[in-house]
Amino acid sequence: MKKFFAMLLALLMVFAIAACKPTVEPDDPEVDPTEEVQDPVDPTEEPVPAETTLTVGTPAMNGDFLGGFGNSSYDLAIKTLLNGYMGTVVTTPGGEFVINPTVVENHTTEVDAAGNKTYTFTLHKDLLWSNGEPMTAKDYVFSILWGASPEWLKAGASDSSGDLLVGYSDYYRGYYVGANGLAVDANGVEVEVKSTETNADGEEVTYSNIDPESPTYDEAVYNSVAWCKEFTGLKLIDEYTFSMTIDAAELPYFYELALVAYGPSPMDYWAPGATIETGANGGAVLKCDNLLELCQNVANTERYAPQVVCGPYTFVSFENQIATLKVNEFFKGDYEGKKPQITYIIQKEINQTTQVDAVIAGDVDLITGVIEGPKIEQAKAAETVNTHSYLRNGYGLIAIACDFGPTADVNVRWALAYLIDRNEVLNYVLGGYGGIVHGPYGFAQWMYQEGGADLEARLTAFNLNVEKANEYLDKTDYKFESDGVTPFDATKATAGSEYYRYNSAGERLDIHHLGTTENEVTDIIEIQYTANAPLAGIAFDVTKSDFNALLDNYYYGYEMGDDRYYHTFNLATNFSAAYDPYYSWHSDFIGTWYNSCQLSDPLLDQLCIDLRTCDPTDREGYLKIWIDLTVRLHELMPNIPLYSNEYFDISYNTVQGCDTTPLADWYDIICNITNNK
Amino acid sequence: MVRYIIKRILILIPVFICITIMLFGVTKLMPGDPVRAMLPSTLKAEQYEAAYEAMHKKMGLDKSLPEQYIRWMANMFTGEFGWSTNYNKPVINAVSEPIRNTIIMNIGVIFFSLLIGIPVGVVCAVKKGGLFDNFWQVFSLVMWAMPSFFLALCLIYLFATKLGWLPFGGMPNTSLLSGVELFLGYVKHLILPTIVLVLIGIAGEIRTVRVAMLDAFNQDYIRTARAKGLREKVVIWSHAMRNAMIPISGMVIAYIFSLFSGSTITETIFAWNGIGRVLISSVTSRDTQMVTTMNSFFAMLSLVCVLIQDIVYCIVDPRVKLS
Repeated sequence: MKKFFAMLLALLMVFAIAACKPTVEPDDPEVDPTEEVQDPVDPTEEPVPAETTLTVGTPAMNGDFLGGFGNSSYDLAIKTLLNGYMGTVVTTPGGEFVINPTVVENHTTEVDAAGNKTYTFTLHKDLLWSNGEPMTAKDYVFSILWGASPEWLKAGASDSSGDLLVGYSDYYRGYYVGANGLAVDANGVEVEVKSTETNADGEEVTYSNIDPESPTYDEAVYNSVAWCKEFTGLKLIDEYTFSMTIDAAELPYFYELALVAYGPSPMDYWAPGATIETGANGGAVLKCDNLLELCQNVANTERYAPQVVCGPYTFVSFENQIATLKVNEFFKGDYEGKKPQITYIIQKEINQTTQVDAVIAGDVDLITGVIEGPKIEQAKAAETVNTHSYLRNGYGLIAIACDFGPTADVNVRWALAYLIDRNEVLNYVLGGYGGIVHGPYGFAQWMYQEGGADLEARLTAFNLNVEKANEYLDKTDYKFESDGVTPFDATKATAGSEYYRYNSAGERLDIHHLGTTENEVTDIIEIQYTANAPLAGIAFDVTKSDFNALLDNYYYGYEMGDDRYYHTFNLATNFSAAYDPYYSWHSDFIGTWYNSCQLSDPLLDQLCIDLRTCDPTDREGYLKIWIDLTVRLHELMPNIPLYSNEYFDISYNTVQGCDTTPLADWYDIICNITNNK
Repeated sequence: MVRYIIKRILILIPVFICITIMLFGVTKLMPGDPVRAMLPSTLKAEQYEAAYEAMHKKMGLDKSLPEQYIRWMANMFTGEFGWSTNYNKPVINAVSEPIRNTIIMNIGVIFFSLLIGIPVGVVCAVKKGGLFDNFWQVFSLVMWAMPSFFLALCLIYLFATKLGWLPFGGMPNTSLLSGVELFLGYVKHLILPTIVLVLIGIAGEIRTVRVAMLDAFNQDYIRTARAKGLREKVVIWSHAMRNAMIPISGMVIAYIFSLFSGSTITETIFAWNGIGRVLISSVTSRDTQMVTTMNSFFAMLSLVCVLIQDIVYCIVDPRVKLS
């Protein structure tokens, strides 16, 4: 028995030692890496470039690799590498929208009498899918017809393709709406809408012309006659030419090119046998017998493992939180015509605690978006890695419910702003790697970089000041003691005194804050406000929960009624390249989660509209409106801006060209990156 | 025996139903809306509402709670475990790979734990108070008290950061490796998490075996066996060990359960794509279908383990009567 165990242990040790031996990653899965091939070298042949791999370490991915599914930032890298880069319009690393010269041979624009603007694109003839098939105009038109179809929604996708183009609503809804709200055909003739339902006796009954207000109306129209398949704002002109017409209601729009930024989808692969024809009104019609079935098929298969793609890489596998991609040999190039130089991309999950150690040891080649001071210091001190930093295109904040309880009063919001030491937040959370912002802007926004000095001259650089906080609170109804009559005396409000402000109705000034667990920002907010708020007579408490619960209370607090409890929340936000605050701050969105703080202000409304409708060529005008809007938001203080980070990408020193920007992540500039490991 | 097993299985049914009702109720009480967590915030209002309604309906959340529960149970018995909102795929597809990985890891852990823990526990009992016993007593106390994440980080620091012999974590790439290389890749990635789990696991095991053996050594029949002049090996392995098997068998059966249940902390630190990590991620992301399904599975598994334990007790200890 002893001998048996000894042999068993010896065998295991052999395996363990063999496993610890450094191994060379095979370059090609089909080639046996153990086989030594010693072909004589022909000096006349060009040297074959060595196959290289870039291993990127991230938190866990969800595994949704097709647009319209999921919202994981780490899936986005794979989505972009597989199906990015071939859009009609691209965003440069500097955040500028430009027509993609690699894709578009030429383009024209035309404005009709109604103010609708048509972009006509002619594509290059040498664009190919990853299976070698030609990529033509029909693939671009198909992409929008597919993404905007109700069938795609029914298959579980969340897609907003074509939503600002003429005719979108009719196409998306599946029917035209007549003057009386009923479904009509293209000639305005009312359509008989039938609905078959099971009654209480279990019999099937067919109802005709059902009420358009009925929740089953849309489906009934769809089931009666699936006839509205024409997208009038979209036209397939010839094999390489197509057009998109932007609805006049959306124009002018400062980032106008963003409205016609669409990539292709592989029509012949996703919908074999489908064709695109021209409808009665000249719009594109997708002729396809079983669109719902095809959509479901793509949603159940391609979504997890896209087989035919247009981006710089093709999908190899996603298993055990490791996504493996191989270079797409048919990829024409990025907007500058550059092709990827790395053969394999491996994105894998790594532990975030040891992420920097993993790069230093060469276990992974790249990690991105590091913000913690100690990790940055560790990376800077290491010889085997390079660091690259860039400013965040966003900021960290305390969001405030502007329609609920004491924080509905702007003076209370300003008082809260004066009760936190933001320098302390910066040092405690970011180790000094970042800066303080005084309004809703990030240091990386081009508007700040061009007009930051003018903006900051008009903003108050507030910081901890209890006296100021009391001044603001004295302007509110919360200026009494508990009897609601005796004036509040700030000198009595000392640490531990439990001397609070009350309003004339005898209600105490309570502020309930919700933050996330294991979050240093929540910790510092708790430390600071529980110490400073009582000095201004505010009873401030902090609850910690997970992020989903926080978002639920923040986004949907307005519909919680008597269950609503929290006034403030700490979180962070990023700006997209096309900065459009309309949805976040316009009063049109009061009572929806878009205007999360539920802030309503006529001047702000006007500024939101002015900003988005600014002429695309009027950069100075846009900048001026942006400054006015930011100043107005600062005055209204719907959130207390805390910091804007400095992000660090850390790469093994064999990685070159990874010059990321606030608006271009590593996967956006993959064609610039090399790895000579 | 057969009658007893049938009776126990019949008792398990209402217990299981009660557990599922509690699980279902608790997950429904969790704050947050799973559909909202799934949808991208980039959608415009109209599309968002439509997508929300469609997903809400698809997940059956438009039904009343009793209806949802009955539908869930009925689906579960037909192999339809619902839709994971966290992974955006059927629960069964989302868990199959992590469960397989957890089993792969735990087979090694159980093998080494039993291989080391039982003999060491027996020898500790035999050499009670000696240097060997004292060393393992201190060792087991230290390991018992040590948080697994701390031990894991120490090992990572030594073997991955300093020596560079082993990876920081993760799993071998099944696309780029095959055959022996893939096997060695698994071994390489499994060494550190296995060491952590074995060291933490044998701490309790050694103490359990030692105490059981010491109890057995104090029994009269051991004295009788020695008085009869039996060899010490026979006394230890045939007489004492057999009687010490009752608590040990309980411990071994518990390993069956642990074969399927992942170690959340170890899997997270080593980025091992196992079921423990998946479960904790599902809880934090409000993936109610995943949480209820997996917890029901674990509840069922623990009930079965308890049943097996009772039967094994009857086999190893004739004093225990089925009645």
